[in-house]
Amino acid sequence: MPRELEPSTSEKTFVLEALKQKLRIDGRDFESFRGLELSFGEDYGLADVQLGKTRVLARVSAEVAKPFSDRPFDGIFQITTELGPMASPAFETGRQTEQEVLLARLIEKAIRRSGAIDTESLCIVAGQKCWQVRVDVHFLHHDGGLVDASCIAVVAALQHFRRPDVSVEGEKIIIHTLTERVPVPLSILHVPICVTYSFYHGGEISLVDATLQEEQLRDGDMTITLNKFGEVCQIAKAGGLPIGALALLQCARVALVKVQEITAFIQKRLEEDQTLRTRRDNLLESTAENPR
Amino acid sequence: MTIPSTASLGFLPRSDGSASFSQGRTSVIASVNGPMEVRIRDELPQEAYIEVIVRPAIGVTGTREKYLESRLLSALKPIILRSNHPRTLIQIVVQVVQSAGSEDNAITTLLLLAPSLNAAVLALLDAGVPLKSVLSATTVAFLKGSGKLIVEPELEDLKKAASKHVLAFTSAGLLGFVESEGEFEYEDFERVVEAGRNVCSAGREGDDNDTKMDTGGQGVGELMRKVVREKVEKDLRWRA
Amino acid sequence: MLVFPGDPLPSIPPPPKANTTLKVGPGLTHTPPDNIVVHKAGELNIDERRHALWIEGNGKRYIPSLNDVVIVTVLRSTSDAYICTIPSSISPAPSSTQAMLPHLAFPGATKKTRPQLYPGCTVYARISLANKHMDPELECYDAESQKAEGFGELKGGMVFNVSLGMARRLLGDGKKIRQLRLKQRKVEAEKGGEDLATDDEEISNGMEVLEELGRVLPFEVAVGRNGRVWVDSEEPKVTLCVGRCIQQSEFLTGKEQRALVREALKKL
Repeated sequence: MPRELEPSTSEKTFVLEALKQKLRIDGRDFESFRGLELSFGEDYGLADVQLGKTRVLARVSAEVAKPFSDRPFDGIFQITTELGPMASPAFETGRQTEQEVLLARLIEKAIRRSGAIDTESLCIVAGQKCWQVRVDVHFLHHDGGLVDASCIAVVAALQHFRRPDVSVEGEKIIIHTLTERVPVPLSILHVPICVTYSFYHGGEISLVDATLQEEQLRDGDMTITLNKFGEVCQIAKAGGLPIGALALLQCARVALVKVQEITAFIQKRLEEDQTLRTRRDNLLESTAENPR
Repeated sequence: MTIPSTASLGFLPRSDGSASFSQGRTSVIASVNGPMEVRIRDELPQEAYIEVIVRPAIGVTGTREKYLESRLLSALKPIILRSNHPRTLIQIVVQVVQSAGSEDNAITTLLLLAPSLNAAVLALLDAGVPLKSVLSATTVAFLKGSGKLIVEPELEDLKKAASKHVLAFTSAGLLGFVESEGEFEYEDFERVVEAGRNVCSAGREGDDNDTKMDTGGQGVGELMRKVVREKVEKDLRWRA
Repeated sequence: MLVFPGDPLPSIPPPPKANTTLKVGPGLTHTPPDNIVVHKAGELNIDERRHALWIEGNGKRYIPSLNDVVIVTVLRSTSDAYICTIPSSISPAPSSTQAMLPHLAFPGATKKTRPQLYPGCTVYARISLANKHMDPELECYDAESQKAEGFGELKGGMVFNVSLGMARRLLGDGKKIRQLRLKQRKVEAEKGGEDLATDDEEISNGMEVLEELGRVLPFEVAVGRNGRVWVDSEEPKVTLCVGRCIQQSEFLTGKEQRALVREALKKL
């Protein structure tokens, strides 16, 4: 499969020189995210995120399964991130590159291990039946910031998703269809958002949300995951150049502001989608057509 | 009842060609890259190697995706002028965004075939890959009891149908691809083909509006031409 | 006239001089002896005077063709040539065709006095060999004059991407298209029995952005047909301004391009 081409020497020197003069190629300042757009599908649990030119889809689905034998009171929660050739011809199907493994681990730690979903609430009958919630992340377009965009997509989709309601009568479990009873949202404990920093010129310059071109030229990177209350879920710094501890704290402080903005934005979009849905459902109920 | 379709073109900047096609609750995105470098083991000396990859909305790729890949490949391979670019790779990726129905069975798979084919052809047109003709596809359900034909049926209609057909026609009205399932007589099949042809063939430039169909909305063939026309006009907008 | 792959061609008017060969341009495939098929979707243009027809459209992936000027990047050097990659207009380039630039394909080069190019260099070259069966080959001098004429290494500066259609216009193809359109409009006006009083300015030539920028800012620019534009000037912010203006004027008409440049210059 064709590999990503490295940038030419003139691109390298120019971008780094421009950074010294506080200029980014797309004209942003060092602490801005690219334009963020979020839309939802007709089905519950489908979120479409556009961060600049990067585009990621997240799809949440749930089915009934047997819980793990060592955790009879917990449901199962999985996140799959597969980089496909649509995002970039350099990604091959079936082969796991280093980038893919790191991305999957980051999302895992940020969302699953930090307890974003209350897995105990997914239990139906202890030891026998539980909900298996699955999130599939599809990458449509790669222009940098895959970690940040996929994290936003996953948390937005999880908040948007509704699972069928369940009632237990003695030995029998009844799973109600979506039309019998109103579906139930997942129990979300907190909303983690990832912010990725890229470092240049030996750590002197740090940027938020690098485009693919900026990513290819960076000396090191670090991803901090926070929720809006300022709780740090994880900090990932896998090699690259060393960063001082004070610089790290400064990055975390800036990240908190960004995380609060993004969480508020997701909330706003969810509310807008909800009003659209209720209007659409009311319209459907009030039509005078006979079902054929 | 016929469900409305929408399509759009060229929204993925890093792909050579991209398109989306939605029909009711089914929505797919296709991207085309190429002609580009090919793996040594796939290299063909006289023609381009065509690869089709289908990714599901939920879960990992399985038998259903492999089935769609093989059907799409057999429909698309003949219309691409492969000898124009020997020893290269043309890669077509189809991502299912939303699919009607929540079960994973033959009927929901069949409903994905026509939108995927349409999205792939639109993406090929967007990328400028040399093509012999344009294919547009539609699904037709045939109900045995009433003898009724439903073009672009909903999931409920398909479940009750005695036979289901996916047909693709060129703009001249020639049948390019058929996938049928169920029991049917030859006379019924002829009616199915006629109904599909009406929807897929498009009026040519300069045709008068009398040739529009009476389904009220646009047929698939016309929709695809309209979307490509908008893209070409946007590209040539600089001339004013 | 918008055509799609598989559409039949309209009848072509006979050439002004008998026995002129019909020239078939991009977007059409010719299978001998006399079958011409449309293979791309776009606008069919017929130049009656030169007896040529082609499909006007836009795209992102560049297919090498003889005598095109391109901006390439050097990958590595072998014993007698540089292996370069011709990137397409997508950025950052995911993959592209590899081309060969012989060590001695520079004006006045001998084994001892040839220019040294290193991996990562940007080079402005001309395609000297291109067909569908072989890897393309490049040269760094003009075909007729055998002199440098601006070809060779491009030092410094920054490379931006544009679509293939925009690159063609920046190289001057827009002017030829404008002549054609003016002629077509005149013919239509005559058919309708009216006199056409079009100003030359109304039909744009696609290059207004460069003309406007060049009036005020000092910069150097090189355009490759593969959708790459190299810009260099004294200060990075001028280079960035020029590059961004060019990228943003993809779909704008001439007047809109001038307005865009004026806005950008005010901010500078």
